[in-house]
Amino acid sequence: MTNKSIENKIKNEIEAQAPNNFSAIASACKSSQTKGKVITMKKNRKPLIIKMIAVAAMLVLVLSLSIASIISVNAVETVISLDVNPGIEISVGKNDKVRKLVATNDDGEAIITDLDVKGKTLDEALDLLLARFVEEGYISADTNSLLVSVKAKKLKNTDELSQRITDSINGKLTEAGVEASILTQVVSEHDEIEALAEEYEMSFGKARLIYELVQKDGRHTFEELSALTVHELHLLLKETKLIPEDVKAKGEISESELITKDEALDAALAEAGLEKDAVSDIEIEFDYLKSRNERKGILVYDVEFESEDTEFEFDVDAKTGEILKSKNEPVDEEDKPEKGEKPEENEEDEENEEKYKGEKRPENLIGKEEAFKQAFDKKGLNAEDFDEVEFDVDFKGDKWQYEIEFEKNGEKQKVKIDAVTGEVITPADKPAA
Amino acid sequence: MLFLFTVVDDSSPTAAQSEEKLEAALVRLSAGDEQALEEIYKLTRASVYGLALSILKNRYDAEDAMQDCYVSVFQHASSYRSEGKALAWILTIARNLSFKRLSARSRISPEEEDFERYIENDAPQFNVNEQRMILGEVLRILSDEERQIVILHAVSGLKHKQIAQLLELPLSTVLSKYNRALKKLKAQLQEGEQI
Repeated sequence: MTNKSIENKIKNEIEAQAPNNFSAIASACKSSQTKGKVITMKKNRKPLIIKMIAVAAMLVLVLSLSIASIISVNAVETVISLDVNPGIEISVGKNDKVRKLVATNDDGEAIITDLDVKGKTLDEALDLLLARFVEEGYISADTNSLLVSVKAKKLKNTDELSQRITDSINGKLTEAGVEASILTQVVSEHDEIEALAEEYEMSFGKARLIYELVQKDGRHTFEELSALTVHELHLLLKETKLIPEDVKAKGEISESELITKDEALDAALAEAGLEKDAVSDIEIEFDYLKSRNERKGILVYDVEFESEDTEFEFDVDAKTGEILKSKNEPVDEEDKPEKGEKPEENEEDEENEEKYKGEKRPENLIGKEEAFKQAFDKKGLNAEDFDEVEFDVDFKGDKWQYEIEFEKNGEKQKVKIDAVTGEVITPADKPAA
Repeated sequence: MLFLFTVVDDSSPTAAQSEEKLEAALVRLSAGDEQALEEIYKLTRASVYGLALSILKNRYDAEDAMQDCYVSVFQHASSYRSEGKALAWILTIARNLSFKRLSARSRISPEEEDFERYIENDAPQFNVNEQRMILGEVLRILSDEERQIVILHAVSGLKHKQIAQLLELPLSTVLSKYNRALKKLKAQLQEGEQI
């Protein structure tokens, strides 16, 4: 049976088995429209409390200078959201008076639960809230990011307003001993972002920031990023250089919680049992664990390198250096099972040994990448020029060879490469029969 | 000298046309045309179900994940930016939701041998339905990644390069796992025939 016929049978069976009942989907979509919240997030991400700073903060904040009247430039209601991990929305009416405080997540709820801001000005409310953030350790020298989002019904003067609020918050936190890194944005109404904010239990401002990031970088999904705190999001935005243009950043973000890229590489090398000079093609990217496991939202360094015969890939916890995921693949065909794979992966070797009539695969085969390179050069192709590649290693005649079949727009080309010398054996072009 | 020209009747033109239709339907849905969801469903139901089955190894869970996927597509279509990658966008959602369901399932009960349940529940009469038997073997003998790669290639018609992007694996890994998976399947099927 050929590959194609096996694939066709799999395809036919899955097509036969896949439900074909659109009305059930349509009604599920309808009910999702009315139901509202789909996912609940209950994460308590309390960083360590820095008590000394908290005590100082309380004392200093009480004495802090007023920012009275900054709202009066905006005669209509303004909503200011503060996100650290607690998310809090402050609605302010005329005369700077706080109309209400709304927590957008559980951490925010804990912050405002016994906070009385009735009749207080925005300035006074900010004093209280910032003091709590510091006291509870949500803002500290290590996690110093804060997102300020200003949404006014009329956009007049919002830039000036947001700037003044940011300056005020920055001043208050500086006095409390924290050099904050503040992201500020002016946001306008957006139905979809509103819906996402509600669904993922976060402020409109944080939802807007994540929304923009997802739009810019398709590798991320809203759900995955929703698990990150503002500080973690800020680190990711900074590393990936994706801070939206209209988001203003003030102050340096603290990276003190993170290990360095070199430390991540050292951890990965130690796990692989290799020295740095024994590996090549080192790539280190800042990333976070995706939702495929329960530990999503953890910042990691994705470390990749190759030894002479093996490709390694690790997810190293960017805060602790712990190896969270490791994977290795022989650079050429498999000689040994991958880490974490079942012993049955050895079957191919057993089959091959039989197939190759006892010819043991030599150690000195060129790598698969090198074989690709030879084949590309021979055909004058780039990696981007083909749609599909079939790759095989075989013992034919008296030599080991790689058979590489390229496909482009339905046309196939086959190249055979001597697996030891890298020489091209058969370059003949022919259309697939 | 005789020259033989063969016209390759590959499924790719059809696949390209489907992708075009799918792209147009998703763009319509993102603009608020809710009717377009039905067309998206028709064009992708096998791909979405296949991918969910390859992750969850249980048809009932796969059906649930499939429903979650279309609800999510419906809810988030407006965030789709037209780049000609509609199928990959939908499959990414299907994959994420399947893993989420898998993780929830493993919290509820220790993972059972789903393929055995699959065989028990759906076992065909011997030799009556070869294709069902082959799918059973896909679920039984392939590793998780091999299974996803083979099903994405067979059912969704994705190229290896696209599969590598979707699964975030190097192309060479996808190729070697694909080849190894097909070899395993062939060997298993031959063994079955001998018995």
